[in-house]
Amino acid sequence: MKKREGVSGRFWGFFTSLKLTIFLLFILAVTSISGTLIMQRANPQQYVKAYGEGGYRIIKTLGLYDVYHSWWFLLLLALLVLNIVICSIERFPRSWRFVKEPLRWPDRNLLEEMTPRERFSVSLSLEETLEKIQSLLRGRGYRCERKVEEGRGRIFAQKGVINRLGVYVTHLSVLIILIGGLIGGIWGFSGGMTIVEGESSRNVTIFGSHKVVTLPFDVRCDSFQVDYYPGTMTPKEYKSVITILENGKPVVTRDVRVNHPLKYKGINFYQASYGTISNRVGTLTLEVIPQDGKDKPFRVRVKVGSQVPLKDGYTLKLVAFFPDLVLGRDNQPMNRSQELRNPAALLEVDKGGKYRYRSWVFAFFPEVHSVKNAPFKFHYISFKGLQYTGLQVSKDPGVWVVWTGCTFILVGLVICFFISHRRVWVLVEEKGKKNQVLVVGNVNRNHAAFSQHFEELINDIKEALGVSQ
Amino acid sequence: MQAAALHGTLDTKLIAVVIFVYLLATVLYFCYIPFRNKGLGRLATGVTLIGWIMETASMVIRTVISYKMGWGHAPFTNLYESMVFFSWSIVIIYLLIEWRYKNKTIGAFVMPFAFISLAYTTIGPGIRTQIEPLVPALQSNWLIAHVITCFLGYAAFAVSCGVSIMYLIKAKAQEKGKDIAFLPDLRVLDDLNYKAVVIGFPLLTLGIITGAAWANYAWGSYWSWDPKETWSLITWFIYAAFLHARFTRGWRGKKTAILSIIGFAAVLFTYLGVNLLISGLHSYA
Ligand code: HEM
Repeated sequence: MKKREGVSGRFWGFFTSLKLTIFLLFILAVTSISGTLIMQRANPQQYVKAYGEGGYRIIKTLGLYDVYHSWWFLLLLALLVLNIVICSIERFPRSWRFVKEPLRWPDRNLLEEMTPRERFSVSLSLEETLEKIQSLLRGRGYRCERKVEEGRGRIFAQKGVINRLGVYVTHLSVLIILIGGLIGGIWGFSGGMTIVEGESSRNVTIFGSHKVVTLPFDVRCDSFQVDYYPGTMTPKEYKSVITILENGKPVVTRDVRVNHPLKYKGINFYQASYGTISNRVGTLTLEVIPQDGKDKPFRVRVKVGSQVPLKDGYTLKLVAFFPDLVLGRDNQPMNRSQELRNPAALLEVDKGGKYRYRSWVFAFFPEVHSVKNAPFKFHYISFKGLQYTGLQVSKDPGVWVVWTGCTFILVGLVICFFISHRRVWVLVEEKGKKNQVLVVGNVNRNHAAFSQHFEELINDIKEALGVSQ
Repeated sequence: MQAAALHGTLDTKLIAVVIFVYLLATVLYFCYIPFRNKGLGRLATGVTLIGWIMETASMVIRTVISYKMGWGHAPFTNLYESMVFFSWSIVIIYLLIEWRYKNKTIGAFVMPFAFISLAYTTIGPGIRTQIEPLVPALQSNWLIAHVITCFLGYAAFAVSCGVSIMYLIKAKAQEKGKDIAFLPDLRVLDDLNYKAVVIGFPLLTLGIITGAAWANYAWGSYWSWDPKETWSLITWFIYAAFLHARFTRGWRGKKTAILSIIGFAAVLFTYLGVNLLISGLHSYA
């Protein structure tokens, strides 16, 4: 590499250095670890609780609460970009020359210095010798050029010259991917929305902030459903039926399942979570076991807050329903979540409009009854609440740029690693009645494989020309 | 041996046998090194190949059973299945490299990885060998492509790690003025190290990309800096550094051997450490 003078020269030299590349890649690797050990994007109280006041101050100063968006991480990436760009500018002209102005007809002296090479003589004519060698090289995938001069002829053959450009394809792809990420970061968003069955919404709450994005259309959840594998509690499928409404008119209705998002006007909707709004609305199914020993058990269905008749003038009222009951601080019953993890119902039994008693029913503790000598026992069968679906909503105009970069980086790697630039020069000179043949090969990587290839090539050429081996 | 392996389905019983086959292969490769006996070398390769065929059969049987149970899926979905696939990948990549570069000595330093990976399924804590139904997030073709490419990449890195260990042992001996003649030339080892990384790097790249595509379909974001994703990127940075180190004077040989061992440590952490020590979207538990 040329030595450059002055400040700009030193700047340039610094950024063309591969040592810098190794250093940057290594520092990126090491610093990335921190973000996998420290909670990311949590709120200050959580940091103080986990690491103390002092720890939080350090985390805040160094931006360790969001390592991958911290100024110093972005600076490292920017340096890497600069490194790639400047290094490519420095080296590209030399690589491009291999493509644009290949060394077709080097000096004979130069050829004599290169390896691998082979020399032999043939009794065929100049024309015939060149023709046979050229067709053989063509058969091996080489592109050939021929030049015939006074008393001698030459062939220049090469393949895989694209390998010289593979590095630039790879490096450019890294830049393209980063640009795609940047586009997504600037013009994209990612958030969530929850919609109760039968209702619609156009508000998306952005993750990590309390900002709300208003969509230019409405999203309605027609229904939500979980399917389980038969005989297990493992969910097989989460499915929301989603309808998009423009100005109140439905335009698209689609199932949104995990791994099967809905895309509309550049905005993607993913099935992310769900839940049941159970304490407000819903229907409980119970088995009623009369304790008088005469009647058989029967089933009733009752809505939250309403009554159903039982028998002998008794009525049952569902006072409250808890999908996930826990006892709060002052021993008050409350919900830990909106999912049916520990369903419990508070029932009231009346007779002739007069209060008789209240009783709890627990889905998972069927033998627990809070009232002794009551006329009825109740067993929980099922509860169908009103479900809501949680959709992740994101818009990322950079995603296609990223996929393009990803495709090219793979192409670039294949060109870099699995193609080599192979060149073969052939010089045929008339020497008396015979022709002297000089074959020289050159490769820019994987020399061992090329030596073998060259040896086979020579054998084939000799065979084609009828030269004894 | 864990009870489940004895009482489990046919595929897990087969794996229990393959563990011993790979152990035998490791021993045979070690015996081959000092004697360089052709027959012994062939035997080692043959035993390895038989083990690999049995392992392949086990994976096929497991898939068939899973379909019969009604939740058919390819066997790449929990820690047990991934460790079986890991050893399978190591063996096939190793066999290809042995065949391509006609060198059997590296078998002694690579087959232990395949053996340990399989043996760990019987002693590792919390490893369930049962066939389980797939939760919705895992029902994706991208996931299958992701697992296959990642693990083939990991396997190539395992080979490069084994070769690098050989390199360091030999280089150390030479520094002391001795030579371990039965290990291949340092130049050959350095070259094999590079060749293994050249196979592993594009596969890891493809693995990260297919993983990103899967995340994009399942969660709506191709990259969310989840610990597993981040560690795969860390691994990728290390091997990128390795590739560039070879163009820098003075970095070939010992330094790149060390880099490739560090790289494989990062691979193992990405694969196991993250699940055991850090939780994230990927945890198999
Ligand atoms: C994440 C970023 C990068 C990736 C994935 C990457 C990838 C690669 C690959 C695959 C090769 C080919 C290696 C081989 O043939 O063995 C390569 C070579 C090279 N890279 Fe990078 N690279 C990155 C960053 C950089 C940076 C920042 C520079 C800045 C100078 C750089 C400069 C070079 C050079 C000079 C070569 C050698 C080209 C040659 O002479 O054949 N790379 N890179």
